[in-house]
Amino acid sequence: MPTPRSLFGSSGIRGKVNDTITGPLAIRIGLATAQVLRSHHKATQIMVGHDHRTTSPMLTSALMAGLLQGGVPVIQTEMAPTPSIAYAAGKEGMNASIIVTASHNPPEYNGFKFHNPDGAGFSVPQQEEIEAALPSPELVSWEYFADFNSFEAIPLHLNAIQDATDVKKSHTVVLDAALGVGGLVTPTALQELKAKVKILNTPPDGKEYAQHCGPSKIQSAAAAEWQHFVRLDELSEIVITTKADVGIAHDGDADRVLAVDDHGRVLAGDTLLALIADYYLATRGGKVIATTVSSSSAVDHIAQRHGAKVERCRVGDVFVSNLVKQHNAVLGAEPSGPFIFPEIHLCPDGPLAACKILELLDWAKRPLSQLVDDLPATQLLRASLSCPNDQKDQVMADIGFALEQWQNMQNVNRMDGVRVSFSDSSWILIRPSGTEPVIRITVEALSAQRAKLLLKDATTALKRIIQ
Amino acid sequence: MVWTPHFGTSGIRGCVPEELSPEIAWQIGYSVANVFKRKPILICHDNRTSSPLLTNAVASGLMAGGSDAHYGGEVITPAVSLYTRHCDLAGAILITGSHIPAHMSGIEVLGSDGAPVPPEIEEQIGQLNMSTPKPVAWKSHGQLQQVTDVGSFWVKKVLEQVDTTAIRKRKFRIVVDAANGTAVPWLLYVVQKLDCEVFGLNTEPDSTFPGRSPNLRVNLLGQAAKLVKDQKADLGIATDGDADRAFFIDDKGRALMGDVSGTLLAKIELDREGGGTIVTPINSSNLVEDIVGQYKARVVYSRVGPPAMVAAAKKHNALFTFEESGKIIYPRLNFLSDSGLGTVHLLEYLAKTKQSLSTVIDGFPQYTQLKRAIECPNEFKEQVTTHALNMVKDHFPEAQVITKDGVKVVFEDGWLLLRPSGTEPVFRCFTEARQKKRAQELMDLGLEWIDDILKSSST
Repeated sequence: MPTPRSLFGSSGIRGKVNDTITGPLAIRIGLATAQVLRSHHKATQIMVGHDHRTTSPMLTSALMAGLLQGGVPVIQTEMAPTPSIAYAAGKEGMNASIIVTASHNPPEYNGFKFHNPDGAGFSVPQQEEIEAALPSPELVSWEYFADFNSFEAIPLHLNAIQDATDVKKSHTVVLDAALGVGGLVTPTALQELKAKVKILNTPPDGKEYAQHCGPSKIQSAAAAEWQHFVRLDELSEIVITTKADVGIAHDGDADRVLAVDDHGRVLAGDTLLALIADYYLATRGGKVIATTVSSSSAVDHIAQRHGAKVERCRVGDVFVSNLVKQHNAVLGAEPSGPFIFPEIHLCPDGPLAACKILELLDWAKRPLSQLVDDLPATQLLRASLSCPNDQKDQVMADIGFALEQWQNMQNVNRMDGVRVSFSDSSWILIRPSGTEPVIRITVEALSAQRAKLLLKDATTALKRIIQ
Repeated sequence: MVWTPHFGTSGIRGCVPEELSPEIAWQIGYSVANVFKRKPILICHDNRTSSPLLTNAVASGLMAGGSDAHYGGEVITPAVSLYTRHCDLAGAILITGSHIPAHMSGIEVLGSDGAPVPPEIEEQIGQLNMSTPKPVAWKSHGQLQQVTDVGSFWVKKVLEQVDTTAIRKRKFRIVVDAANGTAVPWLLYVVQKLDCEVFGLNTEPDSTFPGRSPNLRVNLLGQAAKLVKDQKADLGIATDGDADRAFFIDDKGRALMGDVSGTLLAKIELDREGGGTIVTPINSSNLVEDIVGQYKARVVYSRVGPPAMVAAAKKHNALFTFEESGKIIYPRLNFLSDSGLGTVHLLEYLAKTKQSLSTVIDGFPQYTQLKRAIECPNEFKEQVTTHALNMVKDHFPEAQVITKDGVKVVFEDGWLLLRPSGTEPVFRCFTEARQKKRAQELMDLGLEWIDDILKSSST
């Protein structure tokens, strides 16, 4: 079977079902993973679970066939959020977990996320080991074929969330589970924190969820990204009409969270990051917040206020998890919505983040809208341009060269794509998406005018190169 | 994907994963979903080490082909067939190596009546591959459903067939030798429900089959026979790995030949129904003629092997069909051999007639049966058959000749069957007579005819 040059993207293996992602490939991935696990552990076990996609049971069974053939016993969970499965795997002493999900991608996609027992996604070297084993995995003798068992991950995760959260006041929440697996965990988790929850779009529905989204009237980078899996206008409206304290939404596999304030405004991921960072640094001490090159400097301002530091890494939760570990950070996050709370595990955890938003409100004792308005004002804009995967390398080389020639350029960072900063503390980041055939542009400046100008110039330059 | 191993008569069997890989299993699931027009399919397996992986692969293939996979877990073969037929499923996939060695396994496809699908459907399943037809869109992928009552449905249905009160009263002492197979819990459950005192042998499910071969042969049952005598048990039951076939041991510790116990079960059916048709392959003992002759009934002979037996049973609306291998089929309930149905009917008969199994068997005419397998290259098989037919014509013009499957020559005092194996380079010779000497004479004759051809070919 021909295997693509690199199966792994920034969030595991992902692609279109029947195209790159097939049952026979899943069998092969299982067999290769089994070989890698056996080479590191004497007695090894793995947890396998999946999201609500229609193709997930098919791929899960095939993946399990490969793992069992490779001699690794499988503990199979019910349909559950990615963080629930990753958490249960660690708690139950597994050597790893694999979750069949394509997170927020369209329904014709599916894929595999690999997590370590501490919740962190597989590192690049770990991914490379699996890739290396894929072309001709070792076969094991029939005496060593393994068996599988089932296990419920969600109750375990709910317990952990309950132990890790504490809210005094009863808040009113509108939760949009987006017909995804978050609806299986977050409503209960919030209710256990005395919240009055209005739940939209549950239970999970693998066929309908894709229909349950739509273009948003709200003009913001967060809205632009999340409109592909949530009806933001509806959520915003219900928050306003029900006079709720906060609106919360998840992506398909609930490793991410989005918040809407009491005025119905969709919060940028950077804003939520700054607020939760403020709460964490104030109440838990800690010296480091971990995030990526693409996040706003709002978090830097907050960190400064607490005498703490912001560490940055490449985009992708795997890198943030490792950065958290490396610097013993109190919190890790990306502007796209994954939040990592290392006191539980290193897997981005949407349901836990939802609960942490309530803790934040409890602690601040002020409406969310006020907290947002009090943040240092910066203007962050995002855009993306289509670019075929096979052209990304060349385009990135060319745009990097072009940006270096710009005036007032102060510093170039090539940790992930190209990040150029200017003397007025504005910056541009251009980087290829790890999961989709697009190149993303992020700009930030103190004034809206300057931000718009930077975005326009960067877009024009990139367009010219792609053409 | 190129798929080389052939899915044909009786599904596919082979070493896992060299001949039967999860990829091939996936492909079979995918093809079955297409051939069965995306209807839900039951999937069950035996207790082999390869069963969990093959089951997951088949289930994935089914879902990729658009069928819901109804996962019924580890259950015995007859239970799968019974459930499929009586619970309105479009079909079933059975992952079992039956009686073959532990490193091998097999995949069999059953239709909505619980019988193995006919050869033309098997051919269709074998011909499909990933590119034909087109893959199923994401929206139409099948889902996984758990089915938890396949085994318990079988237990209920099996017990329903008989007067359980009568059996319970008798308080049978039974030796069960389940070959460490899948049958262990189910068969034990049935006999315990009937208040039998059970002496178990090889009753720890163990996919390496440490006790005895999962195959069923009289000479493999020495330990079970000894246990029957030691415990003064009323009888012994022995099954193969997946418990479709059964052999019985009488209270004197004699393991009964498959056609003796088959004939007894046929007699029990005829007693109950007052008459009817019994189907058996042409290598069965003449005993069946002697017994069936006592009723308003007839024997219909088929070719060897369950597909031919079941086809004949369906055609002639038969009451019962059996094979010397221990296959016992009750077509009114189950088109696959069912060790459980055989067991409860035998127990009921013994309970109601208040007889011991040895008394019943001692009442049967005694025959001597001999079996030999001679190595014979496939290219000479036809010559052997022709030669045998000529020899019969020349030397025994008065004998009856049946050419349904090989050459069967029936004399007044015995018979001789020469039959080429369909799977190995072997010619089989079976003989039977009331007199041991006569059986040996007939065997010598058959071996001579085979030898004539092999000798002439080597010179």
